[in-house]
Amino acid sequence: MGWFTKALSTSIGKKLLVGLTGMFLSIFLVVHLYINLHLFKNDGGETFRAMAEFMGTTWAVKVLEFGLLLGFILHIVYSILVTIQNKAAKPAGYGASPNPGTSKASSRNMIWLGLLLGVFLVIHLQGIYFKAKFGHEAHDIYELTLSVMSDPAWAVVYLISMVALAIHLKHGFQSAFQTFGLNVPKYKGMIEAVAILFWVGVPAAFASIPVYFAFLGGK
Amino acid sequence: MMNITLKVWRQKNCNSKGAFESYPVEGVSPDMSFLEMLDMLNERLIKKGIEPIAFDHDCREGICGTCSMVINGRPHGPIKGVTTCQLHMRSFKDGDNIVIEPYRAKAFPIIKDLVVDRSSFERIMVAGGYVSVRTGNAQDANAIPIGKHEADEAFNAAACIGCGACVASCKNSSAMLFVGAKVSQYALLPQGKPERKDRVLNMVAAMDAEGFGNCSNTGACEATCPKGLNLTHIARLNREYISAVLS
Ligand code: SF4
Ligand code: FES
Repeated sequence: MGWFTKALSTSIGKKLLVGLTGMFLSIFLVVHLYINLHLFKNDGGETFRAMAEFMGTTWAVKVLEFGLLLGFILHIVYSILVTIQNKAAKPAGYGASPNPGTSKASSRNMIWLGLLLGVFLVIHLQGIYFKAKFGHEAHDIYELTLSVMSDPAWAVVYLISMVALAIHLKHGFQSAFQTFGLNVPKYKGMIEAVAILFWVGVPAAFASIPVYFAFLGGK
Repeated sequence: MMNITLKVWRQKNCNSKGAFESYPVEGVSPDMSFLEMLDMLNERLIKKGIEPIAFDHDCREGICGTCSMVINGRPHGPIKGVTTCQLHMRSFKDGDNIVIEPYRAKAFPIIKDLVVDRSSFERIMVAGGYVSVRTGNAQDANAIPIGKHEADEAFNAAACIGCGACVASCKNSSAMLFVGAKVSQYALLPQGKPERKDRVLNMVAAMDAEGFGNCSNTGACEATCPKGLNLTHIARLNREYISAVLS
């Protein structure tokens, strides 16, 4: 076990952990999106309720939920550790601003985008998940989610967060492959194509839900 | 002839604070190299009884990696694939203001003016940047077949001159392009393979101990590397590291 913890404490090890947990969280995003998209189904929420019921009661999902919590914690803690180290490695900046175009803005602002997403995570857990799970009054998960999604103020918050998510994924998704050592000419094109699909597609699909219910009069 | 103004970082020693000083430089020939222009300014400063500007240089032909300075926010100046010593004043215009600063990184402490201590790179090399070969007669060149692709990639990696521009341009002062180049140049060749596992583990440990930051894949290093090394060397470093840890 010593070799394992030692390996994860090095610069590359920490990055690996951020990348691996990021990938795990990305898979979760897709599952979450798959369920959310059922809000569009015209069956009075039957499928959505059944899915939420499944997620809430199946023990295997509960175990995964712990994994998810752990994934979030590790992703956040290790990102902060890496950022602190990076800041310490560059004690002073330059007087002249560097040539534009030598690095991408998304790559330089991952920690701030992450922070924004963290805030959104808390707000939306509190607004939906905790209410449905631990709230005093019984909530119908479908009605609750729909009412939240139809609130224009909430939709704006949601949209801003999805933009942040897109930029975070834009850099993160591809970077993870670089950290795993897979970003080689042979796979580069493939990774780039999947990355675009992912960072544009997933946040856009999530965003389409509040847009439809809050602004386009969807019911 | 051109007239320019330099804004140069002056710092007495590693403990003093340092600040920018402005120096107008008249009569600069466009054919001068950047360092020749600094030489000329230094001669004038000495005549006036002012301490000349300290800067590092050696080969002045782009192969030793000694010339280190950040010109207008970019290590080695504005031209891609060119070291400071190979930069010419024709790349600038009459009346230009040019800002010259030392590399900034915790692992490269400033010694004086534009001179930084890059011995941290040496210590990384000592940790594994070599092949332990027994002495004896040189082998026949064809005794060990090496594929063209491997040979080319190893050559690309070996083009790294250890200048440290990658560290200077990286917002995290990460040395991963340098270490990636050194690990790659050996890992790709049969002679380097027997020690590849210890090499990558030891070099990464040495890199971390020196206080370099972590790669966050911003790509500033490959944009500034005068020898055109790219991020695939960092991907290889990561791959070598992962397989060394797991095997
Ligand atoms: S990788 Fe490029 S920038 Fe970095 S030390 Fe080598 S030659 Fe210089
Ligand atoms: S002085 Fe040797 S590379 Fe510039």
